Amino acid sequence: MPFSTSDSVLFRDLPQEGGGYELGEDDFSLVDFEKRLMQCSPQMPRAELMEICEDMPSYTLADKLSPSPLSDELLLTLQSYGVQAASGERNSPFFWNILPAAALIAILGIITALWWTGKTPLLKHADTMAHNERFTFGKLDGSQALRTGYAMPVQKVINTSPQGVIVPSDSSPSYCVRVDSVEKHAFFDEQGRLIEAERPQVNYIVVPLQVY
Amino acid sequence: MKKSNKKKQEAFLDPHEWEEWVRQHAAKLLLFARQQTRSHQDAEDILQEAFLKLSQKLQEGSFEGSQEFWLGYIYTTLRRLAIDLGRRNDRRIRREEKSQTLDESHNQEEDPWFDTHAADEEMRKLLEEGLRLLPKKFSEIIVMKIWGERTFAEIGEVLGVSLNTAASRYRYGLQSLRKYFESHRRQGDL
Repeated sequence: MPFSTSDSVLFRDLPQEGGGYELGEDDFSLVDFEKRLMQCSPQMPRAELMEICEDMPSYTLADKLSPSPLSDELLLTLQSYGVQAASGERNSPFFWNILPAAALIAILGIITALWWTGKTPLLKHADTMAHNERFTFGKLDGSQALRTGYAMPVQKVINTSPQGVIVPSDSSPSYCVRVDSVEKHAFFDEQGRLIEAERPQVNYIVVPLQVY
Repeated sequence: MKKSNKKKQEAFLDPHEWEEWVRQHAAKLLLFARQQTRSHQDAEDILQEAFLKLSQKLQEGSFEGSQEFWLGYIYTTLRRLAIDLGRRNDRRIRREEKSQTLDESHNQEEDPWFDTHAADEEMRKLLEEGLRLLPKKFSEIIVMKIWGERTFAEIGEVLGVSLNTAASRYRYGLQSLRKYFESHRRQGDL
């Protein structure tokens, strides 16, 4: 990197900045030494790092990113089956603070779901279901269904779409991938009838941007 | 709300202006980051983080001052991040110190601080070695002054010391570095 100043830094600045310091013989020898040092140009960062740093204005700050809400059509379809989607919570700052942790959980969830896909649903006791209140039953008699038992939900990934680079609250830029999936629940009512409900899910996987 | 945010972002950070500024100062800032940290990876990490912090501040419109203050902000941030990193990863750094002795020559060859094409190879090696051996309070001023082209007043502001202290540390550091070079010249390295 070329230096615009031809004068030595020491020669130029010390007398003015050093409080009236007078230059001696040793200083002039230091001036020569300084000039030699100036001939060494610092190494530029690697191309990958430069690219990341130069692109920073295009990064989206996490608190400005709002995920796409469920479409009206999908909501109506869900409601016709008596299922109400949970709403609003993803827009809160808290959501974005827990995003990296949520991403890990989402990955684990997807892996588990994929493992379960195609297997015979495992029946569990209904009490556990009471904690899963993300949606409620309208047309279906939920109380009856819950009394007998439910199957472990089966999840299927239907689409993934990259969301670009985001900057979560911990300040490390990360790639964000939206994962659309459908979670299928199966219930048995008192008469032994199988009741199925599907819940679309949107998860965001956050992968820290690696420069190495 | 979104529209106003976008307008704000455009008003405070022009991508082309940013890119040009990064290109102009990246090398000298990386050198300072290397001088402040113990490994090349740590230096790249804190440089990236410092750029990001500035970029965020500019996008949010919370940075006070014009472009001429960006460099001072980055130097201060790099120094603070290096201190934080040192504290946070104390155990990891101790491990690295152990392995550094073994890998030092390899690292120097692979990640030189200075441009190998522009500088004399022996001179470059000695300079890197000399800056590493010099106490940090001297080497950081030399790096900021010679390659960062900062004034003593600006350096004093970044380091939280007076202008006179910065100037005298610079002089003392430079003398020590010259002595180091002279001792090697006597040994025939230069």
